[in-house]
Amino acid sequence: MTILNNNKKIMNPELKIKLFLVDDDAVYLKMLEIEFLEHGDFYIETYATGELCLANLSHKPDVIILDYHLDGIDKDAINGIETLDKIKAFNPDISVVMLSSQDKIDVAIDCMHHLATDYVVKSETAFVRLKKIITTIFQLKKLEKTLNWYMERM
Amino acid sequence: MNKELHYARSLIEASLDPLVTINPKGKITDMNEAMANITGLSREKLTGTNFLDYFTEPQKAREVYQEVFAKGSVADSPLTLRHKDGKLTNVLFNGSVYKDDKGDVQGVVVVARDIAEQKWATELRIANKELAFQNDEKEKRANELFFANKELSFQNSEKEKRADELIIANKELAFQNSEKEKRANELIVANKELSFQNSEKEKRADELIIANDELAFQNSEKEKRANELIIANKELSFQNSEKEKRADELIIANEELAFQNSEKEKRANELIIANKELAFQNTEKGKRAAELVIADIELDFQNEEKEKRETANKELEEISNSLKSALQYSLSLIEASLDPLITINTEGKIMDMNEALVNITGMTREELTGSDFFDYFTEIQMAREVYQEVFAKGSVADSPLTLRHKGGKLTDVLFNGSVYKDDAGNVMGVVIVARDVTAQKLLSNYSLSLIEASRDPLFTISTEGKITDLNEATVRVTGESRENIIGNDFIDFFTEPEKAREVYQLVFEKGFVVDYPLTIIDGKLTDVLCNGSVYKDDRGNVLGVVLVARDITEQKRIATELTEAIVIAEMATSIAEDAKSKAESATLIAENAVKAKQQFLSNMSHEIRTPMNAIIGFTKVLLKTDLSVKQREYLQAIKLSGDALIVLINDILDLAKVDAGKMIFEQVPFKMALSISAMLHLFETKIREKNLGLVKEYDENIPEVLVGDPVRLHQVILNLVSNAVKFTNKGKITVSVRLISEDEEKATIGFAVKDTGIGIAEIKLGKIFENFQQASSGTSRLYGGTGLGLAIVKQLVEPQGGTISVKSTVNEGSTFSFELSFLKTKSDAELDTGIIELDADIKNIKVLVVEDIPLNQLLMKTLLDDFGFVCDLASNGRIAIDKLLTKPYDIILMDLQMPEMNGFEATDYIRNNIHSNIPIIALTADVTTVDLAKCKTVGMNDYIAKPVDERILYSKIVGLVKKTYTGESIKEDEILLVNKIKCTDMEYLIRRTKSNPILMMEMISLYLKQTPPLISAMKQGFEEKDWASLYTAVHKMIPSFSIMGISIDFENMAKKVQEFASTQQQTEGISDLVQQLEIVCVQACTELEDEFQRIKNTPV
Repeated sequence: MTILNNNKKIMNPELKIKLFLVDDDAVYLKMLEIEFLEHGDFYIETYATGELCLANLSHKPDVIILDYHLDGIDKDAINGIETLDKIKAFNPDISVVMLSSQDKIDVAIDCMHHLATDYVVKSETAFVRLKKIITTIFQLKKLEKTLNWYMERM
Repeated sequence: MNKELHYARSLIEASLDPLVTINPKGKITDMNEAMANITGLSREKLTGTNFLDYFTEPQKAREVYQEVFAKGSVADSPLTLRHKDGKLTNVLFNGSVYKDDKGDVQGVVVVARDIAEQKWATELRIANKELAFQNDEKEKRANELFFANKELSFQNSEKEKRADELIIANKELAFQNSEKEKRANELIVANKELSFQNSEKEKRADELIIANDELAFQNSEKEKRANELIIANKELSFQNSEKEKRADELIIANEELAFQNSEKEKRANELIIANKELAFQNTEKGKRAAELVIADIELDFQNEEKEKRETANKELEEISNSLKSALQYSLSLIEASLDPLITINTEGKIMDMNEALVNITGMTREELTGSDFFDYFTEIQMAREVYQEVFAKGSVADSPLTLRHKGGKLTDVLFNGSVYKDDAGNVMGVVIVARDVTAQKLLSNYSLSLIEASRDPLFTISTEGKITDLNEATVRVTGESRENIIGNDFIDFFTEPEKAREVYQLVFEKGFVVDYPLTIIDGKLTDVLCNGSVYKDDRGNVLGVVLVARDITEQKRIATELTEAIVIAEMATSIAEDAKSKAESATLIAENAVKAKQQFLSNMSHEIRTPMNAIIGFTKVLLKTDLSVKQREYLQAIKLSGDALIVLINDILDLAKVDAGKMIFEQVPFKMALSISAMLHLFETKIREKNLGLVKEYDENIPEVLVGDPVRLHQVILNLVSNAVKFTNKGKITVSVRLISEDEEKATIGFAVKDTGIGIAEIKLGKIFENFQQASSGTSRLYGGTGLGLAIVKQLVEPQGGTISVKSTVNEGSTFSFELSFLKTKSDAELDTGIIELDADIKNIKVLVVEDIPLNQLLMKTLLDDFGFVCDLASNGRIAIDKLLTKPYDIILMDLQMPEMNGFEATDYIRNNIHSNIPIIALTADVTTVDLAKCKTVGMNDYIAKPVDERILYSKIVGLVKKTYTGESIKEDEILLVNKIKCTDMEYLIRRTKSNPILMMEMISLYLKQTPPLISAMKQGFEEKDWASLYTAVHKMIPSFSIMGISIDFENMAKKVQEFASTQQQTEGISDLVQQLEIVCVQACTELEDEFQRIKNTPV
């Protein structure tokens, strides 16, 4: 049944990919939103804080683009890694791509250790990378589903 | 009577519930066998010991037992009895006091119901059966007793009455006796007279005297006994009144007493009659002496009889009393029972019941008594059958029925009944115990459904290894019917019988087995894990084994599949990763390809333009020499072809630029009117050649100076006008410029180019703004052109927030119109980057041309000579600088790509080392943004694309030189400054938002909102040495730099500050950097505010 529904979802163009964009940098957040709205078939919700993102997980996002440095403006705000952990605790199937202006290997590794799908540095190419990653995520998910489908019949 | 007592006793003994009587000191005075079993102690040991010692919680037991004394009874107090071996039995403690016939509390009767059995429904059933049987018996007795009691009470009152009558009779008797005595004396006188009168009668008279003496003696004796009888009767009356007070103390034996009482009464009556007779006889005695003797003898005998009966009466009283206490004991047992007890007569009417039935039916005892027994069951017919079965078989056990409460509540009961008989063995009725099994049934149903619901096969196996019971899952797994399985050897169902045997032997040994792997033979060979444990009866005897065989086939299959799935998933993941890396490299390649294409176009432009430059330039030069008519004609053809080719190349490049998002719009002040007329001037020759009219309509209300990109505006109008000229063969071309709206900040201007040409069919109108589209495929053959012109126009108008539209009628003409908004400015734009009219009379301008290619040098020199300017040449930057230092020039034309020192380096040197403000115009074939931006950065004033249009070259040179000449260099500097320092660039934003003004405004307003707090946070963080705050503030600034087109230099500065903030090393210059960041951000905010206003005021 599950696989049938999923197939339906894939085949039905009406169902857009639901994307959460989470960044306390309003300018960058808006920029991302514009890019995603123009370059893909996405349903987008944007949140300025990790708290807001977590509060709205019930909207069932497929992918969350999450800023690493969420406690930049408000020092008491929940940071990106904590948000990531909570998202994963809520539903480990939600793919989370971390976004940071720091091009640091330890930040990237930290994100991976916390089960982020990928890590992207904020730059001119960030959007292209994000789009690519989202495509890959869905390809992977589709592969997994196909695999499961065959596994069920083996 | 003893029989009854004994019967009650055996009932009590047969009870499985421990029954104990305790005296007020808490010592056990009596108990039944169940109590002995549960404690494991013999009766002898139990009797006289402290009752509380057998509970796990003596204190609680004491409280319960005190409660019995206090309240008279207690029900269902949970306690735990301890077996001497330590086994614990949970019991519900029910007790009530029992009293002697004087009402004194003799002790407590306790029933400790073993509730452990509730856990074992089956065992409970056995116990129930026994208890039910006992209850039957008890009920039977109770009913008999009840009857007897009623009769006894009636008889007692009768007896009393009769006793009273007896007293009266006795008195009369005494009176008669005294009369008799008198008469005896008279008789003696009479006898004396008789003996005197009748000598023959002497012998008999003597005997009569003796007899009379004796009679006298007997009479006095009789009197004494009558007195004793009075006393006895008084006692009896007293005891009877006691009996009345305790109506329930009755016994069947009273029947006999009643009978004897009636006998006594009869005798008393007889006595009275006898006495009467005696009196009669005494009166007759004189006449019939012989009869008197006989009568006396008889009287004597009767008196003896009476005496005997008095004794018997007393004995009866005693027995009655002891029976009453025994009855009381039984009755309290019966009433203490929680199970409904009913006696029914042979007609099916209820004769008696206990409190439990009253509770369960909700009727009163009075209502119940005499009513039809079956009425209280949901299934009357079934109840009747059961009841008939009792009569037929003498008893019935555990018939399930349902009792109905008058309130409608149903109670499931197990119906146990047996007949009871009178002494003669006649069936009197039925005693029924209806045990409430609602809870039990629920429990049992629940357990059963649990067992049946289990998907794991469950077996019970006897000690011999035979299967005794199983659930549905077993049937499913083995594929055999229940009937076929039950009774078979357990081990036969497994592939390895020895192992299976081992399993259940292990269970018997250890009492349990856990996860023992076996395989069931069921066609599929199901792998199972066996779990089992023994089950026991309530005495702890092992009855068999319960085994659960968990099917692990699925588990095994899942485990295997999981392993496979993991392997495949890993493979898939690696494939996906490969794909990802391939895709990434593909992206990289694609990006590189785009870059390469751009580079290629750039190179193309350079490589094609350079020779074209020479061809066209020298054709022009050649045309100025003396030529024959033919030669001139050919040269004209070469020039026209060259011009067309250059236009085509420029169009392609423009479009490529637009597509690559590299089209940049400047914001510089310019004079609209001048700009338009200069541009139209270029077409005058052509229009005249075609004999067309050119009409210019210019709205005088348009502000003189506006801010915008005049170059692009020219390009748009140029394209439209050249199209109009191209497609119009007769008539006129009208160019109109009107002010549409104006406010304090901006002016919106509408431009229209109208022709009287061939027109465009309506169906083609929608397509003409697309790349490479012309109204008809034949158009290009007739009129030439690439079809790019209008596409470029559209691409130039729309990114500036303008709109373009077309109206056309075939063969009548077309009107192209567009609207653009321009900001107003107060600065008087003297610098006209547009085209200055050729007739400006400035001569003898000294020009330094820096150009490495000799062909180009020659061309440039020819052109400049034509203009009448003085020209000097330098083949690279170094030579140019040397020349500049030795000779004064008015302007430099600087090629960018040169050996030794290129144009950028040279300009940089001129500006920074020589500190000369001499105007420099870049000559470039490379028209990509990077170079243009670079030109401005190093300090060049303007640029000209090669091949050089002589008119543009002239106007630019004149414009720049004139400004320097007329001493307005200060203003120029200001404007230059504005241009140079403008730190933001909307190019990225325009590209990203596709020039959508709403999105751009949103972005800008977000930046304006976010940035000032970041600036102050950065400053504060730096001043207070709060490095963390400094870090985060700067960190947040970085992404917006590139979005707002702020130079990468600032971004690097910010990164430096950020690094400093995190490491707190290399503090040198950080203060400067922070300051610079602040300045650039503040400036960016100002610029963006202007930009915001500009966009806002631009009509969509």
